[in-house]
Amino acid sequence: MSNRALVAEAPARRGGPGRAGDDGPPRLLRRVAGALDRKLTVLFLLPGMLCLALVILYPLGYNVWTSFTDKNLQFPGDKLIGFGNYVSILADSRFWNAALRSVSWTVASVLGQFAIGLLAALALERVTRGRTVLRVILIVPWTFSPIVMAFVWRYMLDGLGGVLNAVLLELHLIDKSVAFFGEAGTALPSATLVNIWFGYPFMMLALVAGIQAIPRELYEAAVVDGASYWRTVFSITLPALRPIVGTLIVLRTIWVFNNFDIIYLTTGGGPRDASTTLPVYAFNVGWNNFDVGRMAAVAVVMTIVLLAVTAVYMRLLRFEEERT
Amino acid sequence: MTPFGSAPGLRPTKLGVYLFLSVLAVFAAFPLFWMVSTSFKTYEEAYRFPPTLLPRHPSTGAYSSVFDTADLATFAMNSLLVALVATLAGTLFAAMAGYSLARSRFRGRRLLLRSTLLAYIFPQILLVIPLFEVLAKLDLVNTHLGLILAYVTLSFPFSTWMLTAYFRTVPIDIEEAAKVDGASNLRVFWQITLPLVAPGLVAVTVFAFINTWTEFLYSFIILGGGDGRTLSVFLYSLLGGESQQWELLMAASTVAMLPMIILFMAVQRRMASGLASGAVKG
Repeated sequence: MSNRALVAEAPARRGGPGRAGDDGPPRLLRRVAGALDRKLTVLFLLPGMLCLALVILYPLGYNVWTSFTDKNLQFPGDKLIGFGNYVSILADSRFWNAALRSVSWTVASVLGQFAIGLLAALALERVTRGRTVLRVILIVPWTFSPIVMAFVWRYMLDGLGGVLNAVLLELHLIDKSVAFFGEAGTALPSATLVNIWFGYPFMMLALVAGIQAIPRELYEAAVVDGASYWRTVFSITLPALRPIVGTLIVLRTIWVFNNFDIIYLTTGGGPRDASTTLPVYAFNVGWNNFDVGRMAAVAVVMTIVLLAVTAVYMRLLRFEEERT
Repeated sequence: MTPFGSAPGLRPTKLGVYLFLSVLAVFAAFPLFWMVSTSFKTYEEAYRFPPTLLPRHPSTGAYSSVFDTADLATFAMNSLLVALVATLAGTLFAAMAGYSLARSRFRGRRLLLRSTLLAYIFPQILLVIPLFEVLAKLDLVNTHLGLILAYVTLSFPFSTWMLTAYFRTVPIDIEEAAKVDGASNLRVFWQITLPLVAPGLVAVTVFAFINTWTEFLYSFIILGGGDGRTLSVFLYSLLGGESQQWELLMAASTVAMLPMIILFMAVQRRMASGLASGAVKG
């Protein structure tokens, strides 16, 4: 099939079993093997980096280039048009509305995931009986794929046979059924709810591990001093978790901001753009309108925003790595 | 200092903690329960309002019609093949790169580590059309190899990041000692260091497998329709217009989720400690 894919794997093979050979290959081969072995750490980087280059670096460069052209999949050929795409998206009110929705979707999802994840982690730490069972149940959402998640939640929040409507009607919280994913006012909040449901388990697991790494003596000393439980949470647990929380929040922010599946599969961005975030907007422009140049420009803007967020984060955390 | 700081009376009681966890557990697991329960209902019962909690006349009709109309087994095998190969290759590459980044001292090492994280930043949506064109040039559109290639890079940055942290925890003295005894660098890596980070490897492997098994966008774009489809794309094609046959969707979903559930039951203990502590160190 493809030669390039094989090339990508070749270094791995060269770095493979051939070099462990102490069982007497010819001397020249041995010398080569020895030389390769001394460069092991560099060779080890190659396969992964080649894949990254092929699947990420090249598309990225291509993307930046395309964003300055009028490339359209419907028409052959393209020419450079400078900042034309950027000008036109920045003048598009749908772009700005999508950007605003992206911000609220990201902030609400990440805060919700974090709040529930933290409370769950603290609560899990305080139970002794049934902890394993509870933990298994609490990470169930994480096993869902986007498509299955979309099916189940669409059914549960359905305006016709949805179980949530049945419950809310029974409790007299609503007078008539609501099509949660189908109405402008509820579409984005409903997708956010699904995202919080899906994302809190990861937060919880990481925070549980972080809490367990805090030395017990700190708490014992605090209890001797008469500190209340919540006092110890705010003055011992949370400060100790700070670096973890920083990493988690940034990774999640990136993931949620870029997330396409959950919204596309639940609401499709609708009704009438009511839940269209930037990735969905970009997809519609590029994949449905074939306007690849403009889509690329949207993507570049998104990347710049995320790079800025990450740069601020790295500054704030000053990278643990630097100390090694 | 805190609203609760001076009120020891607000110390959470055992009952309160269990109550909170129970409510959360219902929130977490209800969709799974609902999916399985609905999959055993009939079309009429799936649309009954208010709905029944458990099927009144449990039937496997939905399962048989899903298996009759579609070659579910083929799609499942496609998903399994792609996910397994991509996960193993990706984890191996990430282990190599992580080891290299943890041990070597060359200039630009830190920059490289950061740029792996940066790879995580680029929106998938940004990559998907250029990637499609790259794969088209290589004649890899509509092939599993093309999808595998894309999937390797899906979890590679994160896996590398975590494994680098794991490799750092292995004392270098252990490696030095083996080298004094004449072992090659490769042998030290393969026989001494790698086994020591086994918990991290398990966590990263499972994490990558879940990511690839459940992935939607790349397989949607790269594979399109046909017999080569993965489960995700096949499931997507079941989604109709206004009126859904929910019991069919739920039955197909249950089948798609089965491997995930089994995998989770098998490794959840190691996941919880391994994945979390790795992510934490990253």
